Amino acid sequence: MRLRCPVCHAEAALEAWAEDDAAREMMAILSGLDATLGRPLVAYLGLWRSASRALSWDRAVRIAREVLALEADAQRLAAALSQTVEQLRLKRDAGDVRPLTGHNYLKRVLEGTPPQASGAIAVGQVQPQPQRGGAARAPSATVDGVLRLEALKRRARGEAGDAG
Amino acid sequence: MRDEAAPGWLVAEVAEGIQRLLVLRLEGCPPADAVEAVALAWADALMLRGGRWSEALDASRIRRAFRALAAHAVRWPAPADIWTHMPSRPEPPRLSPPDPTPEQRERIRNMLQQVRQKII
Repeated sequence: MRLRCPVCHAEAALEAWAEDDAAREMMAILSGLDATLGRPLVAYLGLWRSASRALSWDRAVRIAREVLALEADAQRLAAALSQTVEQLRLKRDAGDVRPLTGHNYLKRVLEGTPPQASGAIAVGQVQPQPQRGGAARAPSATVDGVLRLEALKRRARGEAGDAG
Repeated sequence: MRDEAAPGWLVAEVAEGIQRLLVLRLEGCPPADAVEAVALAWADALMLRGGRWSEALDASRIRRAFRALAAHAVRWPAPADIWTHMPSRPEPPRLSPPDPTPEQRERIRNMLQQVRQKII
């Protein structure tokens, strides 16, 4: 069965996607993100695709990592990504179809995006979302690791408070 | 070699940095059930090499170092890599230079006088 990505237009057999290390890694990155950040990130990746070539998985993984390292506040990053995608799509509609080659535009938008004060979640503090319909699902290894470190942070700060 | 255990705030900062790296799913990242041990090992490595840590002076440095490390790492880093990105401690305000002594003033005046005579 061949699948085609609706964003970057990469096309391959399902089996090939599952076997490709970079594709699996991309899925792992996206599965660890809140949907409010994952969706604009995927749309942003689509802006890097040229008109004639699909975006390689290796490149998509690298770009996604670079984006996630730009800002710790996940909601702020999501807001900046959404705004970037919207503005660049308008430019594309106006005829400028050149693919992105760097993050400068996103960085400028980020500079102008205020911290998302209410309910801001840092990238390193993503909590697993409860499943709809009550179906239990084991957290991914990444989320499990993040939660273990969250517990360690609380214990460490508690010990520091006791010592002081 | 420094034998004292890492203070709580340092362990917490390192744990937060390891969280940041973990979500990037870099090649060679540790398994979930080992991340606490990894964070403690990093904190111990920072203690051994970092000297005297102060929460007021160093917490933000460690945070910025992990942020920069996450931005540059292409595979899971070693504790030694953090030092490449560790910013310097903020410099304390400098004292103003001391006023010249009367002898120094006299010497400067003489030197200026000599220069003036040579020019004129």
